[in-house]
Amino acid sequence: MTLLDVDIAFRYPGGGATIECAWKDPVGEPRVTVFLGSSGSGKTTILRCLAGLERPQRGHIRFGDRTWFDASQAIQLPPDRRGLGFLFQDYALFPHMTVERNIAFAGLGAGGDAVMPRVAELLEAFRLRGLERRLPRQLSGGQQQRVALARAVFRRPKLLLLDEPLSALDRATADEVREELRALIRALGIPAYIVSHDRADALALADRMFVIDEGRIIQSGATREVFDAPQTPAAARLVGARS
Amino acid sequence: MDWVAIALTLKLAALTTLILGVVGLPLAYWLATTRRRWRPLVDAAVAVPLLLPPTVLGFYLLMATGPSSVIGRLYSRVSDGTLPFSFAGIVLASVLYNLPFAVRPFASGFAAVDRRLLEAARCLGASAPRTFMTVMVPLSWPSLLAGLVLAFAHTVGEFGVVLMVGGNIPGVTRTIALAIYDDVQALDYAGANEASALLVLFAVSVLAVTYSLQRRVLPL
Repeated sequence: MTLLDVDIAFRYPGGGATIECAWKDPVGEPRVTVFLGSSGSGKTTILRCLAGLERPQRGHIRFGDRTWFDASQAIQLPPDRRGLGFLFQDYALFPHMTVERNIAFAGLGAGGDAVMPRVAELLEAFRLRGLERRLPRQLSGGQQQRVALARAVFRRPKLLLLDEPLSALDRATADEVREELRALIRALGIPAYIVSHDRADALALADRMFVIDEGRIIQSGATREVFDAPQTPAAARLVGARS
Repeated sequence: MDWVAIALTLKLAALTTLILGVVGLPLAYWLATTRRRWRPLVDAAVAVPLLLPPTVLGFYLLMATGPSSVIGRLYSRVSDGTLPFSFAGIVLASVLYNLPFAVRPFASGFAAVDRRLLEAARCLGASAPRTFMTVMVPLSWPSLLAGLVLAFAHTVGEFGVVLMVGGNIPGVTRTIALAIYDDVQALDYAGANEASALLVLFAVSVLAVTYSLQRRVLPL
């Protein structure tokens, strides 16, 4: 079991709000954790710090025996060396590449012989057969999400980070894709951190939750427990319960 | 028609464009992506040739590269000659003078690329140079093309800075623009007209090809 040890403080440029959070998490089981918080609460920034896309001012992030970030030692491992999968809010598919090339991008440098069988495997697993030659703009929202997810897991990441995976979809499609996403994440068997502002996402996808408010984790626990017994008025507001 | 001057002009423009591609792309990338506070200063330094008269830039370059200057002494150590009144001198002058014509379109193109695509590439295991080559360059291609074409075409028509730094030595620093000037001074209007018409045709053709390529690339 690998331990993810996070203790960071991040201040937005220009002296805005500050994020301060710390948790230790044994990452190994394919458990899904949702960061639930309102817009601007800092949950996406926490995910970006984990991925190495933002640099906190203070603290550390360790994954097993590897240090991803340590402010005191000036260590900041770049995103390409953290072995993570990241699904962006609007999927960030490369508009100039076909579905096949978007997926194969993650394997460039690994040698052509290893790449194409893995691409074929992912096209099959994510029901993308027949769409290989299409450009992202020729796909529906749900198909784009599947391509982005296939691309993110190409390198068999140890941890999958998903930033508001359903917010780019309309309500009806989101409801449909939510179930599909849940099944895909379970099938992948990779632990996942999902950022969402939608309690329906948390209820459907999460095994456990971190409730985020003003850059801090105000409650954590099994999803059902947090929904049934929010410990603060802010947590109650976020999970939609009466305090 | 002074074919020697035409050949020398094309050689100068090709070399200048090549150097601007090598130097200008990383500089433009830095300008488009950095959050450093002194970025506006570098931006201004790059844009200075747009406002300065070419003779002013040429004058200072002449002073800065003369045999007694630091640059001049360094250059004479690695080569037999001097920078002023040499082909190498006018290449240096052209590169500096054309910097904004290449770097500004490059930087605009880079700035227009969605940052999340670059971040996505990094999260997919691509190093910074690979992200640049596989995502940044293909998505900003029309602007890169515009910068390179502008730099090339502008060098072909250069006059003041070349005259100041290179003089007007046939076969060494005498470009087509200087040859036209000489023709007019010698009252050879037919010769000046021939060369001028060629430059007009060149400018129109270059712009037509550039716009046509951009129209084909832009609907990505």
